[in-house]
Amino acid sequence: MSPFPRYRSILPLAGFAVALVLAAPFGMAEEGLRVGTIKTLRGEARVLGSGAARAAAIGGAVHQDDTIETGKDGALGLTFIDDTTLSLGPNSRIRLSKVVFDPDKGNFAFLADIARGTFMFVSGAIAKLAPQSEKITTPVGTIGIRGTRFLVRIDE
Amino acid sequence: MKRLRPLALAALLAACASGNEIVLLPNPDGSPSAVVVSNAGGTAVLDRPNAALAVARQSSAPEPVTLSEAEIQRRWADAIAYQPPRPVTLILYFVLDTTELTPASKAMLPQVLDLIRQRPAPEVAIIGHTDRSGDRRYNEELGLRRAEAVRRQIEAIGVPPDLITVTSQGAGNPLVVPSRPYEPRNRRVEITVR
Repeated sequence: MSPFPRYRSILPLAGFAVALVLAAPFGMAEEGLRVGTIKTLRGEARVLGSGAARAAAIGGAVHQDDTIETGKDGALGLTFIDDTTLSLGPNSRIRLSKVVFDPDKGNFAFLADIARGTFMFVSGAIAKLAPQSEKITTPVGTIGIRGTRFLVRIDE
Repeated sequence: MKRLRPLALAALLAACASGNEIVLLPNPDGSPSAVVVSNAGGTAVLDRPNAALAVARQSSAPEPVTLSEAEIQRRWADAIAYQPPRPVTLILYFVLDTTELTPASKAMLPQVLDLIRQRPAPEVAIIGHTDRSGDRRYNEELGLRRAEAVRRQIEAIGVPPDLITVTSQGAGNPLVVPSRPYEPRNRRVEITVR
């Protein structure tokens, strides 16, 4: 029999609490909501998220706050949860600042920042349901979308 | 169309040289669309197919430019070539109060599975629906059983389970409204393939 039965009963709980505190930030970073999936890929391309940069792969997830970058021979295409499709030509860089698609609660946002490169956008449900919530910023101006397909080229 | 004055022409040439351009592409179904480009210099709207704007810098207004089809294809060759296939929604129909496909839908199933197979990293959202016969709880459950029946077929061709979602809307989202209680077109599963 243990001389300290009360501690025995408390310790596992305390351990659980510590585990919860530790798990929250890491768990969120690793399992953040998938907002899009890489569907096409050629050459060098990377996804820079909150952790280390990872090589892009077909089927790979992208999350809010990720930056997607292609090398000089790279090209890549993504499909988002609202059916937006986006493709990048070589030497391109875009950050997904905010992607929210929650039709049940009426929450929508698609905000992306282009740094450089060539892009093709085909907008999805967010541009239809809440056009004001979709904006692409570039170093030379902001693009607002009214349900459409368009191309963007930004020189470095 | 007003004629370009020398100053505007100079701005246009400068804009062309910058290499920053936005081009509106036509919608496949011909429906109207537009993009609005704004910066510290002003705002411009693109609302005709293949219309283009050049933007020299944040402080200079976007200027219309003409780009030939060939120039567009050359400058955006890779972005256009690597554009993913558009998501599609397919519908399969069921026999009254069962998870059995109608003969026509059964015949269509191989084509549906082929389409999914041909997509890169396909994500599949399956939503089950019913007609208005039966009560609410029963319909929710029947819709789910229909969706699960379709899920088994799609998993069988190798789509990873974590890329498939299955839900039921029961009789709550009919394709045909207002419908008779026994409306065959509402006994269905909608399959969105991304």
